[in-house]
Amino acid sequence: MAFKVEGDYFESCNCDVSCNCVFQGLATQDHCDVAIGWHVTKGRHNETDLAGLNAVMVVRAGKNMLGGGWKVALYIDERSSDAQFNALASVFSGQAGGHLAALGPLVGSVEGVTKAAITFQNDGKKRRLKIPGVLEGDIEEMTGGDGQTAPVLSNLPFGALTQPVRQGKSGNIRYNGHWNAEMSKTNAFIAEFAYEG
Amino acid sequence: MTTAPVLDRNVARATVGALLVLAALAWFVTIRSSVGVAGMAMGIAQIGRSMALDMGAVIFLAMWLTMMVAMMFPTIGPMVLAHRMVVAHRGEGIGATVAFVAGFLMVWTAVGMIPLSVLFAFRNVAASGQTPHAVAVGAGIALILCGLYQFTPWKTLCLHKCRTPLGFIMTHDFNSGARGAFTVGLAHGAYCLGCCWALMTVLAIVGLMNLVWMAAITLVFYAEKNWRYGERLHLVVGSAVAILGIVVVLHPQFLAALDWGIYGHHAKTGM
Repeated sequence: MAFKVEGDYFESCNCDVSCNCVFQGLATQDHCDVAIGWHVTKGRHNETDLAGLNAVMVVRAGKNMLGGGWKVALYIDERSSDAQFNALASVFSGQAGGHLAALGPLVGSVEGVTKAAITFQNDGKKRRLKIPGVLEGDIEEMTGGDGQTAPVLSNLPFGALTQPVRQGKSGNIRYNGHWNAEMSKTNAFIAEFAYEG
Repeated sequence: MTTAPVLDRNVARATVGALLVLAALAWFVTIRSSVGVAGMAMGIAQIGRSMALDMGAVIFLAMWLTMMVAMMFPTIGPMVLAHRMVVAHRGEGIGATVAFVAGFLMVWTAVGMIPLSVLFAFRNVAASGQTPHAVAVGAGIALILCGLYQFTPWKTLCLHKCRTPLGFIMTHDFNSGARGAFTVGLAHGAYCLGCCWALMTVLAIVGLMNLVWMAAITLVFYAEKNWRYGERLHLVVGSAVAILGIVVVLHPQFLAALDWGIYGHHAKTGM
């Protein structure tokens, strides 16, 4: 085992609900903006413990995500030691292997791998992600036919995780980092992730 | 050392092994040549006490390049492996790695022009048995500044880049092929220079090819870049160098003692 991590997963994109890209379709807007947040609750990369740390990836892709050429920015929890920084960067960029490695060939350029003060709030059916001055916003689970729980999508053909995701909708989300993006009142997924490689 | 499983373990071993073999070879050549330069002024500390540098520019740069291989190759393993890992995803082979290391060395070779010019500039100072007072005080001030540099945000930034190789390579990996790899190597060389120039200046003051100082500074470079506590070590080293500088400013004759008796014309002035 080189790494094994698990925790809470946040995803929001600029597609209308629900995102077609996960079915290998075209984005509902003329390009794709997506922000993904990971909060590691448990896990390690070799000897480095990663519990409690956060990472965020922001992607700008074309209308067809599978066409590649993604612009990517990665943010790593500022509380990380350099060893933890290296581990988080290699795990969540897919360089360390595992499920995320499949996304590697789709990346055109990595604009930044930056230490940042990331907060990931887990509050019932809501998740909130914040990097001061760079990214801020919240997402909330939608209500399914039973009037209580969220609609669940499992076994997605394409995505950043293999675990089932709960359909959600974003509040107001803005990204003003290496480029600007808005993902407000659009698609969101909430889940618990697990990766190993 | 962080090596991800996607990088074949044998490739990783062979890459680091090649760096270490080249470094060992460079140390061997440096140790052999250090005999040849005994008695020559190889640093500010020997100006006026030793024979002026009697060496052509090409020979000097070749010697400098050998020293850089000896001192830097043991420290850049994780960075070279991170580059190897990223380019291996594209199916690129050993050529990209060689180009990357060549780009890195190019920066340090070019930097060799600076000590070369300084030592040539002082060629006309006759060996009177003592380093001119002003030169010694200047060396002390330079040591203080080198020590203080370790506390600047520039040092912190460059050191962070060197200590987080994968993040660095991913953000600088814009082109594939040997040319792209060479450019990434240049970028890494530039940050490495930003990180290490101050301690390299210390070496140029106490004397290039002073094996004791060379070995000690190589160890510091290795630890700053790769050791767990390297994030803080540079502050300790900076303080030590600055204090050394203060001592030299107050007692310029102390500069001669920094030779550790390596040079033929060791100071007789005492302290």
